[in-house]
Amino acid sequence: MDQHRSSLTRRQSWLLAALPGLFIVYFFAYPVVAILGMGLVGDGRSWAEVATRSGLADVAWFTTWQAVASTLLTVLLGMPVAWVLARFSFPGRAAIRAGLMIPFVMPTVVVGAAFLALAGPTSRIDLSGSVWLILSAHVFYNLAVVIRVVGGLWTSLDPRLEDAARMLGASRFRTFRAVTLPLLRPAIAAASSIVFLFSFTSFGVVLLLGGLRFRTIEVAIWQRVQTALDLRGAALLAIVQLLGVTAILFAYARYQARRSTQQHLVADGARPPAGPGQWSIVIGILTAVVLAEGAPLAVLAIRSLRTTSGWGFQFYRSLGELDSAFFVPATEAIRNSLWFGVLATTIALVVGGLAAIVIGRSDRGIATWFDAVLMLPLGTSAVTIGFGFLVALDWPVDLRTSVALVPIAHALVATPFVVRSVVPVLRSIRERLREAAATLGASPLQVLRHIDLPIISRALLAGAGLAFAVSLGEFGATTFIARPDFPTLPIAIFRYLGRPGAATFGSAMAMSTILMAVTAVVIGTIDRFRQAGGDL
Amino acid sequence: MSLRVRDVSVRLAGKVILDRIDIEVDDGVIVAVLGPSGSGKTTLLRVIAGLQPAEGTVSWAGENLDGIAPHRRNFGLMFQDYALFPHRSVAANVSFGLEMRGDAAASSEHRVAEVLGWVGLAGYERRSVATLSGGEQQRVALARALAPEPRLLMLDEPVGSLDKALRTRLLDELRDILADQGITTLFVTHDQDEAFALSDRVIIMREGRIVQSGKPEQIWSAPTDAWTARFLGMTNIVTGYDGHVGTVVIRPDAIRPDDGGTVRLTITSTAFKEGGYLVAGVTEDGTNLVFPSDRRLAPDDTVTISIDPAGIVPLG
Repeated sequence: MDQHRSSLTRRQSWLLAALPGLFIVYFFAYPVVAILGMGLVGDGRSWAEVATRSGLADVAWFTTWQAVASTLLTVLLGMPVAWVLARFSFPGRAAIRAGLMIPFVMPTVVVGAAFLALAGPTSRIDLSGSVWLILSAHVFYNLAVVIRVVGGLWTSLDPRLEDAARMLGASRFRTFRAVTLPLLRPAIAAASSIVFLFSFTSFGVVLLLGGLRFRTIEVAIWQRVQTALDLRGAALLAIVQLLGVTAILFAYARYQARRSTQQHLVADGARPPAGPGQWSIVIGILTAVVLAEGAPLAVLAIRSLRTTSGWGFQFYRSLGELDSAFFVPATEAIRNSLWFGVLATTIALVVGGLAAIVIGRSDRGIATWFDAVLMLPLGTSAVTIGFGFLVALDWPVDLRTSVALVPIAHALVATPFVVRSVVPVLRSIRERLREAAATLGASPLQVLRHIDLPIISRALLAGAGLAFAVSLGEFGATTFIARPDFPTLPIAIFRYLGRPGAATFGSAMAMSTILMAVTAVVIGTIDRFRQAGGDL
Repeated sequence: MSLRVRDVSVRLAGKVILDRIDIEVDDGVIVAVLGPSGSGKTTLLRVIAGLQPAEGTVSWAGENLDGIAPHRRNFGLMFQDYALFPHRSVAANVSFGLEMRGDAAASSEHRVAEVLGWVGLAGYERRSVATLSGGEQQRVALARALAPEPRLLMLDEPVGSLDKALRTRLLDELRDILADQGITTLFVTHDQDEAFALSDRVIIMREGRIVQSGKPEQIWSAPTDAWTARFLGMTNIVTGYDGHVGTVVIRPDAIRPDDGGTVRLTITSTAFKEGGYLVAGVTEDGTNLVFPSDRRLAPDDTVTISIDPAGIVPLG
């Protein structure tokens, strides 16, 4: 009786699910199926020929080993930081933790541009042509995942468990190996799979930093389409990519299902550093990580201001001029990006909001199933989505040259973020509140309007902010579908970086800095919403 | 105008939660449903509110409510955990039912102030419910249920989750409000003191069934069986005592140590209680008895006692 939930009826669920369902089917499932068809159905060439031409074996090998290397490095370097932030309390801890999340929310093009600014061909340290440039960019970007996921669990591990081990005669190292590490294993595994997934599907960073030598599957798909016009080769690569991603997600889900250690968790197990020894370790690690994570972004901003004739806003001013590489002035890209962002956010809110209601209020069966379907675009690479649009969306009407495709693709990538923001809040609303409203005379629709909606409004706003940020930074899908006369910010940056010359590089730095600043403002605003809505 | 519950049964996951329940609540009467946790009390309220589907019929003033949605019944329900809306102020919680029936803002504001006055929270309108103490939350929940003038008010453990001193005070206030307003009320509780203090009629439930119902005095003076007597806190439940057929309850205050008494008893334990001693002992035929005593009796002492026949209550 207490477990009784007034779920939506099956009919209501299906009605609400219709729009998000159609959206996913037409703009996601259908293009993916079209890619499968194109890859598997012959075009007169043999499989081997297509695979060889697209460099499948080399590309798959590089993609995998760089993802493994990126993951190992990220976890190895992230663990000490997670430890310091989880186990020690000191002034400014929350601020440093929040600040270290910034690189993760930056668009991949900004990360790529930042590493070109820091260690590209025009920098003092030139790592271009080295795989270390890619690996360090991946570590830079993903470190936040380890800090957040591992650090989150580490913070709430009861420190008395370690105390108990020490009292039983274990050294610090033995305690870490025998007590702490096993307890952290689920979080380390979760963080590793996320980092691996991101590195495996890395596109923007590798495209910008990989030069001619290093290509992930994502980059190879793009090259097959853009430079070789080999759609079947691209489709084959996309299929391999899909299989890889599915395998990662499957392994992760299996691991999640298997782990079930009941843990005694505390709100915050941090203690102040004891003595100068601990203080110097804490300060040392934090200084190193703040420098490492701050430097690329700082150098990016600095180089946008350092012109051939001293410091100034020359690069920013040049953005308004009509450039030979563009059909429009680069500032148009800013306007386009903001517009696309608004449209994509609107679509994502409608689709994701309806989907969240279905997932949050339906009975278990429908909810689980629909939840999985809605998350698929998140696991699929953006390049696959963009490529799929190009392959499939000429039926029933030819949408492939429509400007609307860009916000639609962005919305597809952003919808899971809206769903993920809203569903937990919707589920946390106690059924009693809805029942109380009903006994006070509220019809089911009035309950939705007066109880559910006001309570999820903050989560919806946070989801909208995330969707907007995702749209601003989206690059992989956009490269396939953006019309030359409607570039977005990341597309404009990529075009600038693709051409030689100190002036165009400066313009790229200026645009990247603008994108970085706008993203930071959007994400900062969401954070404030989240904190203000804390206890709902 | 009265509530009639006929032959109501609820089965959940193969378990019988309510078993052919019949209840009548007349206009202006306060009825308490008393039972231990898990006896189906809350489910009964939910069935009447329309929140829980059930077999059988619930009717009001002769009108069958089957198929009438909860929000069309105009029954008030105060939840055990209050279920205050966290995103609304005190006033907005209390006015919710008024908004739903489309009251104008001005009249609604007036009514909110009035009802908050009844529960002693005048001036609390703008407070956030998150800042309220447990007792204040309980009052807001009561005010919210009362505001739209429900034809039936249902209270689920109205003071259940509060500490003892606060419970006694709120119970007094609740009785006054219900009496003043003359509201037909059905409330459930696991606490017999609450049930007897507040109600005109008591219904005792056990494992989804009604075991006894009647005026508080009737139930107290003649519990229907040993379980009911024990549930009401009675001790000295004895089967086959001194020629009685069946089971009787011997009131503790009917027993006193008496050198001329006829029953011999070995003391098993003594506890200090409310200025005297509460003594437990066992008779020669193995019956356990508890009774008050002015003096301390040590364990293993043997005493004789006498029992006042007026204090022997047959069950059934």
